[in-house]
Parts: sequence; structure tokens; C-alpha cells
Amino acid sequence: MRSLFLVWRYMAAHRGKSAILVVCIALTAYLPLTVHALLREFERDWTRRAASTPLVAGAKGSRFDLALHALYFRAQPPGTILERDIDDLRAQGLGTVIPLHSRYTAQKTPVVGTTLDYFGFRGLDIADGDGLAMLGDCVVGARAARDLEIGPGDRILTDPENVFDVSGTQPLHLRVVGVLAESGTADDSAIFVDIKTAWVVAGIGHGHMDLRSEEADDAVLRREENRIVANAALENHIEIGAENVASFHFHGERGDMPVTAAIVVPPDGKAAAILRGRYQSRESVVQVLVPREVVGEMLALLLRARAILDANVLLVAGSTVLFLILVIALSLRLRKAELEIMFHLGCARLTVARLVALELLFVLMGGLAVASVLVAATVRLAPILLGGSVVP
Amino acid sequence: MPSPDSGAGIRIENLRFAYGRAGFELAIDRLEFPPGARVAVAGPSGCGKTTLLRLLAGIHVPRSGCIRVGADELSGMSDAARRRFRISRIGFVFQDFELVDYLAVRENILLPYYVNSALDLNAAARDRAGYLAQRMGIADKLGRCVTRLSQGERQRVAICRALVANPSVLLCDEPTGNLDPANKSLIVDLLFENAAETGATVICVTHDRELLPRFDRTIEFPLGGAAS
Repeated sequence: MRSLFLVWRYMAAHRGKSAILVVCIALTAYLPLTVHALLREFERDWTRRAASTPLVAGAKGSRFDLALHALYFRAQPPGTILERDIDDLRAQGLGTVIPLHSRYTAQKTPVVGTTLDYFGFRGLDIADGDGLAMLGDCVVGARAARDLEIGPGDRILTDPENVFDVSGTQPLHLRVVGVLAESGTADDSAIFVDIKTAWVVAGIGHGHMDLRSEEADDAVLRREENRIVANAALENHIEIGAENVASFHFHGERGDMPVTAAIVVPPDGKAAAILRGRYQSRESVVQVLVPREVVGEMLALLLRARAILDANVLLVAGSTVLFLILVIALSLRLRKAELEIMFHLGCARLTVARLVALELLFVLMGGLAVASVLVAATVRLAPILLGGSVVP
Repeated sequence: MPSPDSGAGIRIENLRFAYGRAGFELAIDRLEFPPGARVAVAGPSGCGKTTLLRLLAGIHVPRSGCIRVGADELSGMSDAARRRFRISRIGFVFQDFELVDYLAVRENILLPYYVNSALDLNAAARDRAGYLAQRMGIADKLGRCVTRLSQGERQRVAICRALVANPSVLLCDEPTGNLDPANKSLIVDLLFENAAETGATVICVTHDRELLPRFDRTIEFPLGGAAS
């Protein structure tokens, strides 16, 4: 206790020096500890999302792109499959199939077309408003609602695919009917619509005035026996409402409608294995993958990158240790007279060493404590700074 | 805290000491200090007065010869034993006070207790520190940092510290250096009064010839056998 008292008095009297040492150690420890903590969170988030998604089906191509697309709606899928393929998957009778269509955005936020099964599968609840009921409705993730400052009753316009392509898909006003409860996942940063609405956003379906009516004469190029050909004056509705919803229709077969990915939820491992086996043939246009395996591969790459970072951190730590040794050596030199006084008063050399060691221990503990607080704060703030979760 | 100890007699025989190869050598064939004596050691600078005090305190180890303080023979002691001897028997007033700047007056007085686990820092020790500070006229400054004291006050703190553990031998190296005549006399009075309470032997190195008559005996350095 007496040694502790002397060390405390010394450090209190040399607050500046002690603080600098504490800050040096804290900053040295902060970087690697933060990287490790964030990577751990990152791994945890990725693994949790992937583990909760048994199988993902999609077009053949990059497995990473397909997994990222189906799990986080971020990467573009390697291609599209058709609604017919989804029907084939369903016809296997090996699990629930939830189609996804996510190629478009609304104010840079991904617009995800899916079915109501998705909300049940992800355990997403409506926090405010109602669920999807009509074509043109959308429910918004909690973070997206905050960022875009929208809520039930508001409208949000989808982004044009290409602002210079006047003949491309028209933006569509989506009607916000509900906001999802915060889930801490990528769902918080997405806008969900029925998959048919997503097809309308994609320009595959549309609504316009009834060309059979007399008011539409100006927009009719010619009338034939079984069909009417419209001219360029025909205007599509850019918002779906109760008064015009009946006019919306899709050209072509439903089986030809595009789907960018599908989540498959088999009842058991056996069904999952059978399903994977059936889609492993070279001729199949659909690939079925296990997100946990794909994410595991990505994390393995990440861990290799972390090993390089760790090596770098070791160098930094080594230089900090050398710096500390220098500081302690200089400090001992400055304190030589004081330590001699203690020796002259009968203090053992060992006690002097203990005083110096205790001082170093306090500085180290102080530095690590400050670093821990900074790391905890960073990890806590990271989801806010990075958007919903550590995973982008 | 050790119990008050009566002054210890000191006997030096055939002492030889040198600082490495620096050329200085202290040689004392025979020197005795009776128990409870007040002895001044005078002489020019560099003749070995401070070295003698450090040898008597067990800080330096003689190359040869014998130093006996009471029943303790220092020459044959290990480092640890000399340290224990220093804790239990010696009070040392250093020439430049040797106070710890970041500690308050009370803590400086009690410093031997803080750095030696052999000394029990109990209420009695704290009371004695307060008593000595009162006798030295610095009781109102016990909580003050020593860097905020005058030279005379710092000198008194150093004397309090030397006396706090009731030493049987009090070694003082220029305890009145840098003090005005009034303060010099006062410091010597206080030193003698407190030493008299415990019967401590006082050996005081001084350049101040005016103070010499106040001591029982004066030893002039260099001695016959002392050389520099």
C-alpha cells in the first residue's frame, strides 16, 4: 500500500508525462483492438445472416455476388432466373421458395421485390403502419425510413435506371404503407415491395388509360381486330392507386418474369442435400448454394488479410515497447537523485524496482483501460456510422 | 516505530576507503565517538568529511578496516544487513536535504516509513512526525509541498525526517549551510534538543567555525591518517 501511495503521488505530480504515456499506449492498443473487435462483429453479423438463410438459388455465375445479393441486396446478381425456375423449385416439394427481385433503387435505397413469406421467414414485424396489400405499396426498413425521413402515407420515387435513356423504365411513385421494426440487419436499409410491383418498377408491367375508350383516340396508332397499337402519346401511370390499379398489366407469360435470386427454406438437411444435388448438373441454369459456406470462404480471405494486419500491428507494438523502454530509461535517469534518496533512507533496490514496475503497470493499465473504452465506443458507434450493422 | 534508543558509541580502526580509481583515499587509523556525544567534523572541502558520514551510515563500504556502531560491526555486513542497520539506527541530514519534491512535508518526514516495510507506519509514527514538525516550527506546513518551502524550512523538514525513527546515531552533513546566523543557531538548538530526548550520538560535518564551540568535541580533517 505504501508503494502504491508513492507511485500514485509521483504520477499525480507528473500528470503530463503520465498522461502522454497512457495516451501512447492507448493509441497503440486501440488500432489492433478495434480492428479485431470490428472484424469479430463483422464475422458475427455475416455468419448470423448467412446461417439464418439455408439455401440461395440464382443464376449461375459468381457465388459471392449471388450470396451478397440475396443476403444484403448490395452486389448485382450474376444474372436473372425466371419465375418459371421458381415454380420448378417449388414443384420439387423440398421447401419454401421465396423469390427476390432487387435491381432498382429508390433514392439510392435498394427496392426489394418479394412475397409475404419473406417477412415471416426473416421475422420482420411492422412497427408503424400496415403490411403490403396492393400493387404499388411498399414497406420501408427502419434505418431507411429514418435516413429518407419517410413514413406511412408518404410517397417515394424509384430511381431511373439511366437518366439519359428517355425510353427506359419510368420512375414509379411507391406508396409507403408501413415501416419495419429495427432488426439490426440489411433489411433495415431496404424498401420492400411485392414482386409484381418490382416488375412494374422494372418496366415489365405498366398501367395506362383504356385504349378501347374514346378518350384514348389520340393515343391510338391503329386498331386491329384483336389488338390496339398505341402511339407515342400514350402515357403510363407513374403511380398506382385504387382508381388505376386495374389498368396495370404485364406483357408476356408470368413464367418469363425475372427473378434475381430466391431463398429456399428446406424442412431438413436431407431435403437441402437433395435440392442441391438436383441443381448441380452442368446443364442447369440455376445454381443453389449454401450462404454459410460462401460467407465462410469470404471470411477466410478476410482472416488472411487480418494476419497481414496483425503482423503490422506487431511492428507498431514493438516500436511502442522500444519507445516505452526509452521513456522509462530517461525517467529513471531523471529520477536518479530521488531514487538515491530512498536508497539512502534504507529502501531496498528491489523496492525501488517495484516502485518503477508499479508505475509502469499503472501506465499500462491506464492505457489499456482508455483503449478499451475507445474500442467499446467505436464498436458501439460503428453500426450507426456504417449504417445499421457492421456489415455494409 | 523503533523505541527510543540511547546513543551508540562508534569506533573506527584502520579504515581505508577509495572511490574507484579517482585517486581520493580516506584513511583513518583510529577514531572514537562516545555514546551520546555531540561531535563536529570540520575541515576543508574534499577532505573526506561527507565520505566519513556515508561510511558510518553504511551507504559506502570500506575497502578495509573496521567500523563498529554500538554492537554492530559494519565491515562484515551484507548489503541487506547494512540497509537494516541504517533503517534502525541511523538518522541522516543530507547536505542538500534530499527531499522528494512531489511529496508534502508530512510525507517527506515519514518517507523512511514509506520506503521501508521494516518500519511500521502507525499512529505513533504519525504523531511523532507531527510532534517533530511542531518542535521545528513547521507544523502549519505539514500538508504543503516541499517545493513551496524556504531553504530554512526545507532544512527543518530534513532534520525532522532524520529524527522521526528515533535513531541512535544522527549524522548531519552541513545542516546549517545556506542559512542566516539566527536560523543556524535555531537549527542547532533544535537538533541538540531532539537528539537529547533520545540520547542520540550526533556527528555533524560543518564549515561554520562559529558553531564549533557548541559541540562537545571537534575533529579536524584531514586527520593524521586521512589523505586526499
